[in-house]
Amino acid sequence: MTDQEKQIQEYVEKGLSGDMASVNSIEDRILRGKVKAAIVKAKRLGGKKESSQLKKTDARSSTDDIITKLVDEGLTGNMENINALDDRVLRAKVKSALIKAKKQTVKKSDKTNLNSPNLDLNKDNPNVKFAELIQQKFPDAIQCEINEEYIGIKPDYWLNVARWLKSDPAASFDSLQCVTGTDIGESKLDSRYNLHSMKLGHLIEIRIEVPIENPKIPSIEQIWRSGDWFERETYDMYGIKYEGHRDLRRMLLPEDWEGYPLRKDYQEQETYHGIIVKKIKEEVWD
Amino acid sequence: MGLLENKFKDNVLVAKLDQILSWSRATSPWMFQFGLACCAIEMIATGASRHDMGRLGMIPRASPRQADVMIVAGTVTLKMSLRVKRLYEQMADPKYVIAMGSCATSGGPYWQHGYHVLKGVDLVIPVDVYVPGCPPRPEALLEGILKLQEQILEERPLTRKMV
Repeated sequence: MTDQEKQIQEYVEKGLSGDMASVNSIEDRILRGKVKAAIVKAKRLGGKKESSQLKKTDARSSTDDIITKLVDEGLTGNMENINALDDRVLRAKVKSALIKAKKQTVKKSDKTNLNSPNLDLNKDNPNVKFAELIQQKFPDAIQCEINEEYIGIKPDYWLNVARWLKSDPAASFDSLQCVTGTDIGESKLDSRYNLHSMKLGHLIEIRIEVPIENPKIPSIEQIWRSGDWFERETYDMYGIKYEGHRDLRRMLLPEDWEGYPLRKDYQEQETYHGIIVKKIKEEVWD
Repeated sequence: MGLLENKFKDNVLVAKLDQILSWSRATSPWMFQFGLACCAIEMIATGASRHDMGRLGMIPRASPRQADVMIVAGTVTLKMSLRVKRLYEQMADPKYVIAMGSCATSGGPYWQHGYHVLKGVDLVIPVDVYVPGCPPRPEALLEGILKLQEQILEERPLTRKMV
């Protein structure tokens, strides 16, 4: 054993007995680093020895007990004991269990929301507020239950609702931020509009469902000019026909393309202008 | 003027016309810049001062009429493939193609599910050199250009058909 190793051992023993001041006062930086690493190692080994002395099942059940106890404390708002835990792994476990428990309670409250939708709705939520306003103005226009995520509107009423949303001083949605489509299954497509009022600062989402066999929605391209390319792209990918659009051509794909690629039942074509589209058939991969 | 100033006396050099032709072709392969996707960034880096594609006699041209080599750098969509073919046909003979990156060689990440991507530019035009990588580093592209030059040097345009 060299002198340095002896020195390290001495310092480690000092450090383990709680005298860290002498360890920190080592002037040689390399030596200090080595001593500290050795202390950490020794502590870890000691911890392992202790836990291995216990029987495995006992250890597990005792940690489980600790976790459930601490989670209960955490749910009541007392985080002090959790943060004071020395074992890093155990602390992380407790915290993750706490998050899980909190999520479950939130989910429960969500379910109660669904059972009685109109009681717990936040009236300040713009999606709720404007859905109610639209219902007053156009009694049959709302397609689904009023909720906080979106406003469902029937395609026949959409043009009038859109005009009202833009022109009414209380709404004044002057910016159409995005139009997208979705294939929501059960042979239905929907088109989603994100509207924003730069003047009043509120934001809503409109969803319009149409059957996949005859997907027709009135175009709002002349109300919000930004809708022009958005609607063309959605037409390109989903085949929703925006009636009244002045230039409804494909946006990204070539004009002679077959099918609408983002629909769930899309089959890619075998060849395009004599070029093989799919070089290897699926069976070869399997 | 240059490095060779006063190095040679008045002289006569003798060579085969064939070899001179292929040598002159190999040392000035003007390139048709065809940056389609992220590979274009590496192609630009190859042209910039650190790697300096110009020292191999390569000058970027914006027109197919003035170019000898087409470097297809990036994803070729099916919509673009028709244009690639047309531009290749507009180049004057002799013409060469370098497929740069995995998209241009095989479709790359769009191999299985890219409904809109051409699975390798060699389905549309003949390719001389494939440069693998996603995207290839400038060194890889330079290696590809050197390989192409080797290939051009082997050609004997007057006595043999092109290899």
